[in-house]
Amino acid sequence: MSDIVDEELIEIFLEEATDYLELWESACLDLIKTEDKTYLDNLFRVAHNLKGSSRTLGMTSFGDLVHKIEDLITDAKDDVVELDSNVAEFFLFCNHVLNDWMNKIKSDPSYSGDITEVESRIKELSSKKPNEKKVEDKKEEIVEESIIEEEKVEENNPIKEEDKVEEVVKVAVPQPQEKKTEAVNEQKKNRTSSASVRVPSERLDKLIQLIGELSISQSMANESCQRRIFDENFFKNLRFAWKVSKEIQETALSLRMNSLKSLFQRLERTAYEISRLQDKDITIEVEGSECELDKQAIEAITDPLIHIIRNAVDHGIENRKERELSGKKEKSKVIISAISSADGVAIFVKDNGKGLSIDKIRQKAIEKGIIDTNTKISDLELQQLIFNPGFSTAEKVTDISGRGVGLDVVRQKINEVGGEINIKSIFGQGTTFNIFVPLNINILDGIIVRVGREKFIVSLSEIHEIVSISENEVDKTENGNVFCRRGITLPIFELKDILNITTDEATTSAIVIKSGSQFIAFSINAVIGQHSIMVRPIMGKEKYSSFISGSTVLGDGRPGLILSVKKMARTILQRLK
Amino acid sequence: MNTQFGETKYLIYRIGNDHFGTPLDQITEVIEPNNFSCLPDATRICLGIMNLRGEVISVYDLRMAFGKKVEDDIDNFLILINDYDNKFSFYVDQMIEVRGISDKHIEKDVKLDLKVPRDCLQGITKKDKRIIYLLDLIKYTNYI
Repeated sequence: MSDIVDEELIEIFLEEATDYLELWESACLDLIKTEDKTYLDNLFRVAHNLKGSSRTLGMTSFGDLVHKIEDLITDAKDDVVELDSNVAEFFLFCNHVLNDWMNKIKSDPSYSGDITEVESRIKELSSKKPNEKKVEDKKEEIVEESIIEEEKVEENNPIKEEDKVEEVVKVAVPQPQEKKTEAVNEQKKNRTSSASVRVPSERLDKLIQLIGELSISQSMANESCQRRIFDENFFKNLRFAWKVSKEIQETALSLRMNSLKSLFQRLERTAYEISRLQDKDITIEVEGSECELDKQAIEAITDPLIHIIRNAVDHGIENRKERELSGKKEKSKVIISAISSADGVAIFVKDNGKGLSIDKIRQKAIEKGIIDTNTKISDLELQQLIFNPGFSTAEKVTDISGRGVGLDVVRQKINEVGGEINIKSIFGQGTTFNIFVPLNINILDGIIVRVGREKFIVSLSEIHEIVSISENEVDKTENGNVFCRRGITLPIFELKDILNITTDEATTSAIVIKSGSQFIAFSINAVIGQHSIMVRPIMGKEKYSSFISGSTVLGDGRPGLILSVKKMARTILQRLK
Repeated sequence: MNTQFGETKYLIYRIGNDHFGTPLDQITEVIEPNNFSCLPDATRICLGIMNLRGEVISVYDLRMAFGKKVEDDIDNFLILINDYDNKFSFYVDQMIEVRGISDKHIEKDVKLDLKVPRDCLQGITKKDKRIIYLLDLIKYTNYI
């Protein structure tokens, strides 16, 4: 780097470059999958842009590196260098190097990386000679192509290219794999969440338009106020203003929404890299990456999802030999998909590997004391136990997974954004992870309930149903209280006991929660109503009941606590066992 | 500016029979207590949570924390402090005044029989034969 450049410009460049590198990555992945030359054009465009903007900022060495890669892309495009998986992988490797470089620039704008390794690899690759026969074929092709190109009046010089083909002599040396994983790890460490958000301009336009509408309807209402005429018109304006402000709220929240595209791309790359490392021939399919989620939620689920992908490729998919032995004909596959619904996004990670062994889980669960030898538990419920802390059925710990964060951390992280995770596996046929992330983690539809003098909010999505109940319907047994709902007996607990609230008021209703396949009810004093509420954190020290997931300010100006009844149900049911 | 002419401004308040002072620049506002809601399973000194213009803030009772008798006085106040992104509010008995205290009037090496963690206490000063304990509330938040 030669000059000291404006910090702001560097920031803009870094943001741009992050986007470019993402495009680069996706082009590489497509290239590896299909070896289709059209993706080289994409790659070339990206490299060209990167080179241009970095040189404008005086990052000459960065620009030079990209320039050299660009040369190789051109060679591959023009068939001077044979486009095989080695070359495609090298481009992916360059992506790591550039990403790394950029992360270093973030903290130190004058950073200048070492480009000798990339340079030497470019030399190796561009000196690689395609097979003799191929060369001849290629030569013809090149001549043909160059004729066409000449007609198009392109810059390329056909004579020069032919010279190059004749120059090609040496043989390529296999890639050092370790170096690559190092780069991956390094990159993971440096990846930080950026403070800025990219917003499609039409959303901003809509927001501005809505704010205009709001101010019009407000000034109309204001005029009525000044003239003290509260007629039908005034109330109409007020209602309109309310409607517009609701719409503004929705649009404002959508500003934080991002598509899952870059997350899925990252997952795809992770899966690909591990499959290369372990020499597993896996097709990776991605569907539904256009689904949108809150940026915060995406950031929160990124690490858990990477962990799940690693698990799927490392433990889920058998290696070639095992697969042959088990007589599976179909190709190994990992499918990452997302489906959007009204209240959230469901993400599936599906593999057609060996699946979970129910017997092994049962044995392990008994070993850990989670269940008894004679506990009646369905296979599906048994499978969910792998989310318990310290539960790993993998026999050996590999580099890829099996240590570090476990699935319990995965579940915890997903629960933190209000999401849920479960697993469904068929032994010998594969495993599916199902992750549900609610669309909006800041606003939730809740039922306000009253316990004694205190009001609590329960998320509508966590409630199975609300039943009215009187105290004489509750039967007291030696194992606790139960009541009968449409012929099914379920345990009932008083919310006031769980939350340590003293009140003599009679129970009028109960909320029924479904946890797994079990039901549990919590009795309350009254149901106040349904509201859409804004979730706020509780300021101060985090020392209070773990069943409280947040707070809000209610219509009467008093704070209300949000209860995580699902967690409450899970904890109590576990205690009952 | 909190420091002027070599003096630092302190908010002086009463908890039980003792007077305390906290540097004014730690305090964001002083308000009258409004309705609290309960916070299940919170620490003993947490009175609950309150609504401050749409934000939900935990309220801690300094009288209970310092082992003073809790009596329902009408002059009660809440002191709000800001520790980066976090907010705390403390329940005290009475506001006294804001006064500048010069550094040379603060005794730092004192041994006290007080239920206050030692490193939260900046020192003591005297006014009209009354002792004022100078309390660092931001440091105190570590002990909640």
